[in-house]
Amino acid sequence: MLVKFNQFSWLAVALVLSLAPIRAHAQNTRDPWFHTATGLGIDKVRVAVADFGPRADSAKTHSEQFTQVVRDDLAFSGIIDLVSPSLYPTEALTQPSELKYPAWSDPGVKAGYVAFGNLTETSSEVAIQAWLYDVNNPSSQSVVGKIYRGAPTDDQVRKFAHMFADEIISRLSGGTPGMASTQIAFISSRTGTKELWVMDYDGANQHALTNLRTISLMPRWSPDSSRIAFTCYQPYNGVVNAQICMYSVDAGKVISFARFKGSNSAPAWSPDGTQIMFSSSMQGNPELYVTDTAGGKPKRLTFSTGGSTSPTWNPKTGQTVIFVSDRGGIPKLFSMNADGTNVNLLDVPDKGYLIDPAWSPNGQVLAFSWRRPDGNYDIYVMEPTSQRIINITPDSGSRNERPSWAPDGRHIVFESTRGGTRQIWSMLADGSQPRQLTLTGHNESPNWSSR
Amino acid sequence: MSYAAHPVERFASITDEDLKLKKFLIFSLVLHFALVLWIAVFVYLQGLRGPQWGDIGGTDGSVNVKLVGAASGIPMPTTPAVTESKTIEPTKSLYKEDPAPKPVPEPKTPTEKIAPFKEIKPKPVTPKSKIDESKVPPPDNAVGTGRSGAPDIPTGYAPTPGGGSGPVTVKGQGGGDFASRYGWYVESVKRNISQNWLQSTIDPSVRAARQAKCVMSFRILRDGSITNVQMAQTSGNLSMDNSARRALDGIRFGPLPNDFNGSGVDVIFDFDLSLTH
Repeated sequence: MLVKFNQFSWLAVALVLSLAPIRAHAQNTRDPWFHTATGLGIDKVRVAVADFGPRADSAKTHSEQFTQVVRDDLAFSGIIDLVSPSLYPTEALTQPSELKYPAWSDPGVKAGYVAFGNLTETSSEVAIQAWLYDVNNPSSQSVVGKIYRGAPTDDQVRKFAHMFADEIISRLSGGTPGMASTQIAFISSRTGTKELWVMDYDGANQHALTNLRTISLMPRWSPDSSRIAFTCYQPYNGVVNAQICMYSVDAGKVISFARFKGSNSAPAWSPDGTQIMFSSSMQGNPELYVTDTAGGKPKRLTFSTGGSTSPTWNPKTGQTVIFVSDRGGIPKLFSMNADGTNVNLLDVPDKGYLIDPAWSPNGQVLAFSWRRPDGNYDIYVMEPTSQRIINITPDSGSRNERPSWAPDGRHIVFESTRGGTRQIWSMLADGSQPRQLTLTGHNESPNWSSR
Repeated sequence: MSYAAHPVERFASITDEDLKLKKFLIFSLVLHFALVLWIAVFVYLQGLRGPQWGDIGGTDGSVNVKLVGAASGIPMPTTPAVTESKTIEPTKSLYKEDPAPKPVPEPKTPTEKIAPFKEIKPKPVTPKSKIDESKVPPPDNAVGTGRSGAPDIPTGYAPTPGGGSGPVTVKGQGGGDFASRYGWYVESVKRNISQNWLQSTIDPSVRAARQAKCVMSFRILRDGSITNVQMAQTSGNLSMDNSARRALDGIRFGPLPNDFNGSGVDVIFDFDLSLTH
């Protein structure tokens, strides 16, 4: 048989063999396929956002607001280079028929994508048409095309802008959800006592959720963002000690959670939202306990001579928990299985206090605060697999602590004294694009909602 | 332990009432029989429907569709079914793309200050907003009627399976080849994987050499999830290969483009340290 093969056949066989494993399903399924690659880095996408056109004067303010919020969201997304509006073509672009591709792909603008649209507004409704087009591919249809309708209020228009930005970010980033519609819970003492507050991810719309007039600390969103667990000091029968409190976003109030003896603090949610882990001294020493979401069926997890606190559940696996313990003398990070077994010290190449562990949403990176002997608290990120540690707030003097990840895994919110007072800041997870979110009073302990 | 105790106690104390149990048993048997009968009828009816789905789905080789139609009665409310109805819609009527403003939407009034972010986020978008693709550009696959037979993208590829030139893309007409028609989607896949690829877990010497390359293949389904992940070509270095595997581990992309008809896209992806972009 082999003898019969001529040269061409051999070539064909070789070709088939070399491609066979790769193209296996392409051939079998008759479905389309593509081939692409990545290397050492990847460019940000260049996106232009044309001024959204008001269909009438009444829509002018909201057009400007919508345009601005979308631009801010995209610029802050971490994956998009917002093309400076000063470079845009002068002709209005408010609907697809007006899109002149060359004008936007021109080297002067060099937009990869352009977002545009228009607003119609009556006294009862605003309707926003919004599109995103691939500038380099005139034959393709819109990447995003939406109509948003709702009450013609600033608040609603802002929400729509966040949604549109999220849609763009999600589409262009390959499915990683945007987080422009997320919120940040935090503790503020601007009214005199430390209360639970919440704000939009960009610092807009700050308002208090509680008015307990005692002390509230360390809020943590449930995975479905319907509840916030936090530490509270609500007096009960004349006794005041730290307890776990539960705020229901749906009900708009604090709902019941079991009270325990001793001091109870630092709640953390299991990724499936069915359990709470927290530190409690109900049996004397501060140890980690796990309960259901109403505080029922408490089960002790740690047994040590030192105290244990600040647990954080790996959100991806649900199996590993990182927590803080001073069992060696000073606070350090430990890992354990969610059932309390297999406790290990996370070793770092220097001395100092390590606190505030926070898993990234994909469970691959851990952020924490570290006060090394030669400085103040800074935020570090570590990939447990490689044990590589990076200081992402390398400034001198100020305290940067309590990191919390945005659901997109690209942003971190934290508290910092870099502006003189203790305030909430956010940044990209590499430390770039820091942005101050709170300005008045003292604000601390931010926690990013998970959706 | 306590669990085990209960049943024992119960049996012990209930022996008198065995007779009553009999009644229940019979009743239960009858019920089960009725249920089985009902399921059988249902399946049969579904079977009747199957061919109709097949007819719509494709005048040419629609083997897949028929199979799904026949099996769908029992195990899975498959995504393909959703896919199909979606693809039919835009061709049928050019502008009424979203036939399903499912819940009549209430534009959440901003009266509640706190509830909004949980409730409002999904609601206004799904019901209120419409996807405009159909309105604006007349789709290039101008099939016209609701019977979106032949020019589906998958069909375009079938005739040229072996002859593919190089590793780039196979040409198809109508739907066009995926990469040129949906360049943004290809970019987005690349972006997502790049972000998920922790190069710091690769041996430093391998990284420094900037030569290692491995190739993974997988398939993206309509909802953006992936299946059939395989290492098509190893780099020869375990840490490099593992970093690539991990980059795809649990990854999920955005849903395939709305106007794309196929049930999935096969992807060949190079992790290549010699590329600077």
